[in-house]
Amino acid sequence: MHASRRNRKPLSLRALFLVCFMAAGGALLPAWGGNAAAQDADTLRFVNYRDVRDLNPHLYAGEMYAQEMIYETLVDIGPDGYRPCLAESWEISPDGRVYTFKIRKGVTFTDGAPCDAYAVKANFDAILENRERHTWLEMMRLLERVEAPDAETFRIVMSRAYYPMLTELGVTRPFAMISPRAMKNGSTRDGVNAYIGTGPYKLTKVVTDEYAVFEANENYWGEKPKIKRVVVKVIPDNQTRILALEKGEIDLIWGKNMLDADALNKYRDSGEFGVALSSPTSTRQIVLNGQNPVLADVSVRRALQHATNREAISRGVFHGVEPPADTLYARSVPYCDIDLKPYEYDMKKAAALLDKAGWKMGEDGVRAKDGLRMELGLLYNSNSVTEKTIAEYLQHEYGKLGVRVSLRGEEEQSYRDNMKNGLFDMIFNICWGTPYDPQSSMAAMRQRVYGDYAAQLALPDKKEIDAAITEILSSTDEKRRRELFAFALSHLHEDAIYIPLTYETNKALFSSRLKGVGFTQTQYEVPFSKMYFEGR
Amino acid sequence: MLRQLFKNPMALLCMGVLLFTALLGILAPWAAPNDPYANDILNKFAGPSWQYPLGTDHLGRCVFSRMLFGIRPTLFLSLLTMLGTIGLGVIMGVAAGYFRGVVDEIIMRVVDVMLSFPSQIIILAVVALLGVDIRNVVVASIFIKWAWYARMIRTATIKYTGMNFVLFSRSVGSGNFYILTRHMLPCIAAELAVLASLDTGWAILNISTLSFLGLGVQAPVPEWGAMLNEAKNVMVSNPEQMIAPGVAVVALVGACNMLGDCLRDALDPRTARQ
Amino acid sequence: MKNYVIMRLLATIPLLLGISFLCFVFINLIPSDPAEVALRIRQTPVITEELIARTRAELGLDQPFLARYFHWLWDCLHFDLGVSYTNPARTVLGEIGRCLPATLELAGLSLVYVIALSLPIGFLSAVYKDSWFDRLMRGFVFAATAMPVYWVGLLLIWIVSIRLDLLPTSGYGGLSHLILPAFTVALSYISTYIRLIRNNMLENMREDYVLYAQARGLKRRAILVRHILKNSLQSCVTAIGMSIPQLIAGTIVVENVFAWPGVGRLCIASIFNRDYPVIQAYVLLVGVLFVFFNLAFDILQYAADPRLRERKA
Repeated sequence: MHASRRNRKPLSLRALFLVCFMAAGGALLPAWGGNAAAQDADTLRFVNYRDVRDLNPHLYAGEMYAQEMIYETLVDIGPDGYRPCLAESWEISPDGRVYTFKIRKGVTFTDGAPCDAYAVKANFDAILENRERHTWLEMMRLLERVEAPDAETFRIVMSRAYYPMLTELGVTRPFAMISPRAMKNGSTRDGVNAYIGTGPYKLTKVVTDEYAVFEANENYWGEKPKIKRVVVKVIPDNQTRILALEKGEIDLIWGKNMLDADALNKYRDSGEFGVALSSPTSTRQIVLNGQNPVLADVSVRRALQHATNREAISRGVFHGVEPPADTLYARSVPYCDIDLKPYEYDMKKAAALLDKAGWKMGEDGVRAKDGLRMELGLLYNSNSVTEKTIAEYLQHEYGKLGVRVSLRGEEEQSYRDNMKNGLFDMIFNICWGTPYDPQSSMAAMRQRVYGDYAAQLALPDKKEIDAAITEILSSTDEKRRRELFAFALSHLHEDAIYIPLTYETNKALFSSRLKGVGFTQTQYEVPFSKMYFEGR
Repeated sequence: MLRQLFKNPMALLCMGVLLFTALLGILAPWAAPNDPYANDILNKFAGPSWQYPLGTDHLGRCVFSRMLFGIRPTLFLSLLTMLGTIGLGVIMGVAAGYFRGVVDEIIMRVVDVMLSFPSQIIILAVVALLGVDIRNVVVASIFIKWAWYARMIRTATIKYTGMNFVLFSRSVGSGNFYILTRHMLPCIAAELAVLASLDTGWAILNISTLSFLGLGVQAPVPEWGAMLNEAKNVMVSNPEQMIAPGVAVVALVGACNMLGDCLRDALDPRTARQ
Repeated sequence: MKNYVIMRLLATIPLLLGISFLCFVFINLIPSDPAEVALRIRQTPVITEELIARTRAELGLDQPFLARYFHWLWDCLHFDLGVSYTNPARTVLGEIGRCLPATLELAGLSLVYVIALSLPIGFLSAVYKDSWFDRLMRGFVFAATAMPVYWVGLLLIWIVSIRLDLLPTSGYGGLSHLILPAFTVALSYISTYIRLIRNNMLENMREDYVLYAQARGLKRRAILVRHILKNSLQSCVTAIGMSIPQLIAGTIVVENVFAWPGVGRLCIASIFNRDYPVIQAYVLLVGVLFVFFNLAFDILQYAADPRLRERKA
C-alpha cells in the first residue's frame, strides 16, 4: 500500500497525536457521546457486552474477538480447508504422529521480538506447563513433545494419530502465540505482563468496563486492514446497544447473542442499517441431565422432545432468523449428514408416551410416578438476550403436558460452573460450533468438561458411545470414522438427551456506510480486516 | 377522627381505589379474560383487542390478565410486609418504652444501628445473603423497617405511660399485659395508621423496584415491576409495553400516600389548615 | 461546644462497631465455606477435604468468632477489604475505588438539582400559597412521590433520548450523559424538600417574630427573605446534608436503568455473581458514610443554632 508508505511519518505522528488526544481528552471525548466526537474515517466503533478482561491467549478469561485481533495461530481454518498463517507450510508423517511446521520468516511481535520457531516453542512450553487446564482439547492428552531444531522449523510429536489436530491448532485458545517477552519467566499460567501478539491489531488502551482501543499493527505481515482503529465500547444491555447504533454512537453490533430478533427484524428492511446473518454456526439446545430421577426415564426425555415446538420458537422468538433444529448437529456439519428421524412436534404423542410410562396426571396438573413429581428446573444464561424468552415459552408448553418447570437465570460464569458440575436438571446449551463440531465437542463429552458428561453419565449406552468417539479420534480411515460418527450420533439421538431448538447464527447490524461486514469459519472472529467505510 | 375521615372526599376516593384494586386482585381468576401464563408466541406484541384488552407481551401473553394477577404480589405482599413490620415494631417499641432500663437500652442501640443504613441497602444485602426470592424481600423489608416503628412507638408509649389514666390503671392493680393491650395500643393506633398507610406505598414501590432489578418476583409470575423489566428489554421496538404497569403502580402508591395524608390531617387538624 | 463535639464523636464509636459487626456477621452467614471459595479463587483443580482444612487454618478460620471479627476489623482499618470472589485479580477496594467516582458525580449533580429546584419552588409555593403555581407544584410533588424511580428513568429515556433525541440514552460520559440519571435520582428528593421548605415557611409565617417585624413596618419582601426564609432554611440544610449518603445509596436503581458504571451497578452485579466481599464492602461504606454525615451535620446545626447550645448548657 503505497499510500501508507508515503504517509509513514505523518501517520505515526498522527497516531501519537491521537493517543495524546485520547489520554488528555479521555474524560471529555466520550462526554459528548458519539454525536460530537471527531469522526475519523478509519475508526470503527464496535460494541461488546462486557469488558475485554484478561487477554492472556493461553487461558480462557478474555474476550475471544479481542484475542482473534491480537494473536495468531500456526494455521488458519478457511472455508475450503487449512491455510498457512504463522506456519508457511507443514508436513505430516505417514503414521500421522509427527507434524513438522515451517515457520514464516520475518514475522515479529508488536514489541519487536521475532516470531520464530523458538518463540513458538516457548509458547507451547508455557501451554504445556498448564496442560491440565487444556484437556478439553483431546490433542493435549496425546501431545508427547515439541521441539524447535532451528529458527524455521517447529515439530510436534504425538503419541498416536489424531485427525482433528490441525483444527485444534487453528483455534485461538490456547494455541495463539504471545511474545515470549510478555511471559512471566517463560510462563503464562499465572498471567502475562502485556498482551503482545503478531495479529493485525494491537491493544493500545483499556478503560475497564468502558471501552478498549485497538490500533492497526503497522508491521503486520499479511494484508493490512483498512480500518486503522477499532474502539470497543462496553454496553451490557441489548436495547442500549441498539439505541447507541441508532444514534450513531457505534457503527457495528456483531455476535450471536448481541441482538434480539425483534430488533433485527425491525431494521431488516430499513435502508439506514445493514443486516447480515451467517450460515448456522452451532446448535441451540437444551441438555437434559440423565442423572435426574425424572429425566432418567427415556420416555420422559422423548416426551419432552415431542412437546417442543421448534417451528414456533424459530418463527415466534427469532422471526425465522434461526432455523428450527431437528438434530444435535446440522446436516451441513462434517460427518453429520445422517438420516435421523426428527422428534416431530406432537403433544398427543408426548402425553401418550408419559401415560404409557406410568406418569399419571395429578390433581394439581403435575404428573407423578411412585410419589416422584415431574418438577424440573431449567437453567438459562441471563446474559443471553433470548434464552429467557424461550425458557418462559417452554415452561408453559411443558406445563400443559404436566411437567412443572421452574426457571433460574444465572450470570454467564456461574451458569457455566453449574453446567460443568452437572448442577442442573435442564440447561440451555450451545454446541461448540464450527470448527469444533463434531470431533472436538464430542471428544469432550467423555470428560467432565462441559454439561454433556454429567448429562450422559447415566445413559446405559454411555460406554459404547465413548468407545466409538475414542476410536474416531485416532482412526485414519475416513470410512470407518463415518461409520463411528453415525453410530455415536444415532445413539445420542435415540437417547434423546439433547433437545435441539434452533441453529444459531451470527448476526450483525451496522451503519449502512460500513461495508464488507461478514463472517468467517471461526464463529468468534470478527473479520475487521475485511471491513471499510464507504465514502469517508 | 374516623368521622372526619369519611367526610373527606379525597380519602374516600383513595380508599375506594385501594379496595377496588384489592377486590380485583382477589377476583383475578374470574375477572381476567385470559390465563396470565398462556402464551401464544406467534401473536406477540399484539395491539389491544376484545380478546386482549391491553394487547399481548413478548410471549403473546395477555397483558391485562397479567396486570390483574400482578395485583396479588404487589398489593398483598406489601400489606404482609406492613403487618410484619408493625407487629415487630409494636412489640419492640412498647417493650422499650414501657419497661425502660436495660431492655430499652439494648433495643434502642440496635435501632440506632439499623437506622444507620439506608433501607434499600439492607434489603439488598439480605437478598444477596438469602438468595434472590420475593419471600426474602419481604423478610428483609420487615427486618429494616421495624426500627422506625419501634422508635416512634417507644416515644408514644413513654408519653402515655406518664398519663393519669395509665397511672390509675396501674394503681388499681392491672397487670402489665392488660395495661399494654387495653390502654397503650389504642392510644398509639391513630399515629400508627398514618405511618402504616404511608409506608404501604413505600412497600409497594420497594417490591416492584426489586422485581424490576430481577431480585424479587421471578418469571413467569406476573408482577408489575417484573413486567416493566420485560418492557425495558423491548423499549425501542415496543414502548407501549411500559405504560400499563407503570400507571398502575403510580395509581396505587398515590392512593396510599394520599390516604396517609388525609389520615394525618384528620388526626392533627393543625397541619390540615396548611 | 467542644464538649458537645467530643461527646458526639465518642457516641459514634459504638455505632461504627455495631455497623461493622453487622457487616462481618453478614459475610459469615453466607451459605458457602470461605475456605472452599478461597481455593476456587486460586483455581485449584481438585478440592479435597484435607486441602479445605489446611486452608481454613491458613486463613485463620479455625479461630474463635470474635477473634476473627477483630482481625477483620483491623484489616478494614488498613483499607484491606479482601479480593473479589469472581475476579481474584481485583481487590475489593480497587473495585469500589474504580466505581465510586462515577457514583459521586451522579450524586453530586443530583444534589445540585435538589438545591437549585426545591429551594425556589418551595419558597414560591409558600409565598403564593393556593395560587395556580402552588397547586401545580403540589400535584408535581404528589406524582413524584408515587412514581417508581426506575419508571421515571425509563420514561425519561424514552421521551428525551429516543423521541426527542436530545440526550444520550445511557452509559458513562460527561455532562450530557449525567443530566437524565441525576435528575431521576433527584426527583424524589426534590419533592420531599419542596414540601419541607414550604411547610417550614408556612409555619414560620405564623411565628410571633413575623408579626413583630410587620409591626415594625418592614417590607414584605424583606420579612420573607431575611427572616422567614433564613429561619426555614436552617433545618432544611441539615436535612439535605443528612440525605447526602441516602442520595449516594439511592443511585442503585438509577445506575442500573441508565447503565451508569457506579458502585450501585457494581453492587447489583455482585449480588447476581454472589461476590460477597464486594457487597459487604458496599454495605459497610454506605453505613459509615451515613454515620459521618449525620455526625457532621449534627455538629454543624449545633454550631449554627444558638438555641440548641443554650438548651444543653
